Amino acid sequence: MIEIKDIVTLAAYIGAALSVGFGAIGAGIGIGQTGAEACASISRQPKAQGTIFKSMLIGQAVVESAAIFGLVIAILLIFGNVASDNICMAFAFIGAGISMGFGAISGGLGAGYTSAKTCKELGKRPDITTTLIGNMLIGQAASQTPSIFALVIAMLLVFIKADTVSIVRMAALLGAGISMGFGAIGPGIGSGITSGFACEGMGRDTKNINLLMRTMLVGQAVSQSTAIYAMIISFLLMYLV
Amino acid sequence: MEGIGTIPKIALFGLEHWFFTLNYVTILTSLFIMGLLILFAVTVTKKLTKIPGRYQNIAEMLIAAFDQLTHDTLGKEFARKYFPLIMTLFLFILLCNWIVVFPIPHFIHIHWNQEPTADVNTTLALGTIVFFVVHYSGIKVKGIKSYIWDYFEPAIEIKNIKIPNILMFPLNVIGEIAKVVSLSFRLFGNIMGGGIIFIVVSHLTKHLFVPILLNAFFVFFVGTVQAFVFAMLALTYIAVAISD
Repeated sequence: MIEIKDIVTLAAYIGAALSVGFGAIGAGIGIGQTGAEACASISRQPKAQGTIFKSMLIGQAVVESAAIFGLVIAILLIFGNVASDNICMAFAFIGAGISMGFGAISGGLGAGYTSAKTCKELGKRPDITTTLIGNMLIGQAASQTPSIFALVIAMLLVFIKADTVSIVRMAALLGAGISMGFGAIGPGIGSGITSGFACEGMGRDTKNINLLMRTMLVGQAVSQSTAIYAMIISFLLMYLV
Repeated sequence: MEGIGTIPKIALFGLEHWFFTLNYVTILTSLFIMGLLILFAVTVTKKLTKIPGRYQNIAEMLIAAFDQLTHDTLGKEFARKYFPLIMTLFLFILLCNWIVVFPIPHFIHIHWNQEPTADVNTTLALGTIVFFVVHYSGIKVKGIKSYIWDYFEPAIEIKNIKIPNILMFPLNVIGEIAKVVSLSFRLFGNIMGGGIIFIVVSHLTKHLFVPILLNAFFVFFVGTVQAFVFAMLALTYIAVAISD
C-alpha cells in the first residue's frame, strides 16, 4: 500500500536530484572557462601570474555559489523532514527542484564568462587590477541575481503551507517552479555577456571607466527585468491561486 | 539535524505574531560583534604614534585598502563622506561571517544558525540601509527633478527635445527593488547555505575531519568574498546615484 507520505518523499527526492543535477551544469562550464582564460593569460604575461591567479580564484568562488544554491535546496529536500500528508506538497517539491536547478544554470554561465574575460584582460593590463576585479565582482553579482530569485522561490516552495488539496493548487505550485526556473536562464547569460565585454572594454580604454560601469549596469538592469516578471508570476501562482 | 528550519526565538508579550518575536541568538551575536568593533576602534586610536604599533598597523592597512577604492569610484569630494558607511558594512559583515569559527557564546543555548547574516532579518536590514542611503543621497546631490527624470531614462529624442519614456518607468522602479532584494538574498543564501551544508556533512561523516576543511572554505573564503561584494555593490550603487 503506497501512502501519500511516501509519494511526497518520492517527489522530494526527485526535486533534489533536479536541483543539483541541472544546477551544477552552469557552474562547471563557467569555472572551466575561467581557468582556461587564466592559463592563456598567464602564458601571455608570466610576470603577472600572481594577480591573474588570485583573481581567477576569486572569480571561481563567486561562480561556485550558484551551484551551492542548488546543493542547499537539494539538502533541504532530502534531510529536512519535509514529508507531509498533503499531495500538493509533492508538486511543490518538484517545482522547487525545477526552479533552482534551471535557475542556477545561467548564474554559473554568465558569471563564468565575466571572470574569464577579466582574467584575459588582466594579462594585458595588470596596472588597473583593483578596478578590473571590482568590476568583475559587480558584473558577476548582477548576473547571479536571477539565480538568487530562483533560490528564494525554491525555498518558499519547500516551506509553503498548503491547506487545500485540489488539482488547481497542484498545477499552480508546479507552475510557479517552472516559471522561475526557465525565466532565470536568459537574464543570467545575457548579463554575463554584458559584464564580460565591459571588463574587456575597461582594459582597452581606462579613461572612461565610470561611463563603462554605468552603461553595463543599465544594460544588465533591463535584461533582468524579465527575471522579475517570472518571479512576479511565481508569487501570484503560489499565493493567489 | 532535527533542528534545520526552526528559529530560536522569544515571543514578547506572549504573542506569536511575527512582529512581536525576537531571534535572540541573532541579536546577541550582533551586539557582541558591535562591541568587539567599538572596543578595537577605541583602544587603537587612544594613542596614535607616527611609527605604528601592531594593532594600529592592522587598522591602517584596512583603511588604506578601502580608501583607494572609494577615491577611485566616488571622486575626492564624496569619498570622505561615504567611506565610513562602506567600511562599516564591510567590517560588520566580515566579522558576522567569521564569528562562527569561535566557540564564544557557550552561556546561551547554541542553535544551528549562529551567524547573524544567516538570518534573513539582518541581511534585509542591511539592504534597506543601503536603499535609503542611495536614494537619499541621489535626491540630495542631484536635486529631486533630476532624480525623478532618471526613472524615465533613456529618453526618446525628437529633434533635440527629450521626451520622457513612459515605458521605462516600471522597468526602472522594478530594477531598484531588485537591487535591494538581490543584495540581501545573495548574502543570506551564501552564508545560510554554507551553514546547512556544514551541518549535513558533519552528520554524514560522523564529525570526523572533513567538516573542518569545509568550514574553513565556507567561512573564510566565501564569507570574505561575500562581504567584499556587498560593500563594493553598495559603493557602486551610491556612485551611480550621485553622478551624472
